[in-house]
Amino acid sequence: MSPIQDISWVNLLLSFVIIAIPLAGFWYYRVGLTKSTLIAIARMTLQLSAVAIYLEFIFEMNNPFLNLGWVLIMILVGVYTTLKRSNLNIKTLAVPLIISAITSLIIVDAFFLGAIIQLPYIFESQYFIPISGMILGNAMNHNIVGLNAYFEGLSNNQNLYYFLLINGKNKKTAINPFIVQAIRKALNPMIANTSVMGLISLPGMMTGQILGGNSPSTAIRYQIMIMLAIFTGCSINLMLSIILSNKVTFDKMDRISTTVLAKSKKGLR
Amino acid sequence: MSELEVENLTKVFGEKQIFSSLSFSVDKGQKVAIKGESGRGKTTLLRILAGIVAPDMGEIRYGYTLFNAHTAKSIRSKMAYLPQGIEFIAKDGNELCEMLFVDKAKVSKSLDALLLNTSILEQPFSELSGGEKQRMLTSIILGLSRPILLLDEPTSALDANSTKRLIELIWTLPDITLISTSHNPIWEKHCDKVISL
Repeated sequence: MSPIQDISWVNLLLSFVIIAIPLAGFWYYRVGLTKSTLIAIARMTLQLSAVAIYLEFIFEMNNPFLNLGWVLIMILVGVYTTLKRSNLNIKTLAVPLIISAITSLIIVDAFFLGAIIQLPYIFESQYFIPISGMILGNAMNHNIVGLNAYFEGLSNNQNLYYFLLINGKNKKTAINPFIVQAIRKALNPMIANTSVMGLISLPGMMTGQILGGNSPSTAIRYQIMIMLAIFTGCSINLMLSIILSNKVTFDKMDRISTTVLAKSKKGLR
Repeated sequence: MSELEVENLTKVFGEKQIFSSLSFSVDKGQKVAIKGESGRGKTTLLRILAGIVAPDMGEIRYGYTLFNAHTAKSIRSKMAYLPQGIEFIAKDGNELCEMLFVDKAKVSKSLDALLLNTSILEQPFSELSGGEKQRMLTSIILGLSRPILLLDEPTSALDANSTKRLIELIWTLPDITLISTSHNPIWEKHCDKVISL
C-alpha cells in the first residue's frame, strides 16, 4: 500500500474554490443559504484547526482527566446545540440531556473500548476521544430530529395526548405514540443508511483508516464496530433523553408544562 | 350528593378574563350543556373539568373528592373525554380500541345505535368523513363504560338524523353524567341543565 499523499496548505486553500458552485446555485434560486453556508464553513475550518492543535497536545499528554474534560466539553456543546436547534428550553432540559449523553457514552465506551477492543487503558486518547466524538456527533444529529419530533408532536397534538391520558390507563399509554413517532423519525434514516453501507456509501472512518495506511480488513472491522457503537449510542441517548425529559415535561397533574416548550410552541388554552 | 361541584372558578388568559367566580353543581346522571358564543371559554371550562387546564382560582370536587394532583388519576379513571380536532397516530379504530383496552362488544352496540357498521373500525382514520369519525370516537369512549362523560361539541360534524340517534343513545344511559359543550339548540333542549357563558 502506498503511503498517504499529503495535502499542502496552498492546495487545501484552493479546495475552497469548489464551494462557488453550490453557492452559485443558491444565488440563482434565491435559496437564502449563502450566509449560513459561509459561516458554517468558516466555523468548521476554524474549529477543526483549533481541534488539531488541541488534539496534538491532548494526545501527547494522554491524561485521563484532560481526555474526560475534552469529552465533557463535546457533550455540553452537543446538548446546547441540540436544544437550540430544537427550539426547546435550555434551562429546563439541559440536565436530563447531559445525563443521557454521559450514561449512553459510559455504556458504549465501556463495552466497545473495554470489552471489544480490550484496551489496557480505556481513556487512551487515540481511541477514547475520536470514538466518543463520533458517537456524540451522531447522537446530537439524531437527538435533534427525535426530540424535535417528540415535542412538536406533543405541542401540536395536545388533544391526542389528553384524549389518551384520560381515556387510557395511564400516562404511559398517552405518551407512547409520541415516543414511537420520535424514535422512528430519528433512527429510520440511520437504519436505512446502515443497510446500504458499503454499497452506496463508504463511511468516513473506514475511508480515513484506509487513507491512513491501514489494511481494508482492519478498517472494515473498525467500521463495523463503530457503526454498532453509533447505533447503540444514538438509540440509548435518544430514549434516555426522552425518558429523563419527561420528568420535567409534565406537572403533577400530568399536564404538559409550557415552560419546556420554547416561545414558538404554545401551551393549551 | 352532587357528582360534580364547581366553586368560584376563574380563568384568565393574559388580560382577558374568560370567566369569573363561576359556580355550579351537577347531579349524578344529569345531562349538562355548556353554551355560549365562540371564544367565551366553553372548551376551556371543559378542559378545566378534565384537569387539562389549571384554573386561576376556584375548586372542583367530584363527589366529596377535591380534584388535585393527588386525586387526578383516580378521578380521571371515572371519566371518558372526547375533545375536538384530534390527529390520530393510530391507523384505525381497532388499533385505538386496543390502546384504550375498550370492550369491542360495547363499541359495536353503540356503533349500531349510531347507524355505523362495526367494519368501520378497520377503516383508516384518513378515509373517514368528519361525521363518521365523530360517531365512531363517541362509540369507542362509550365502550369504556365510565360514569362521567365529557364531550366537546359532540354534534359538530353530525347531521340532524345522527344527532337524534346520539341523543337517543346517550339519554338511555341514566347512570352516566354528561357534561358537554354545545352550539346545537336541539342538544341543549334535551339537557337537564344548560350553563351559559
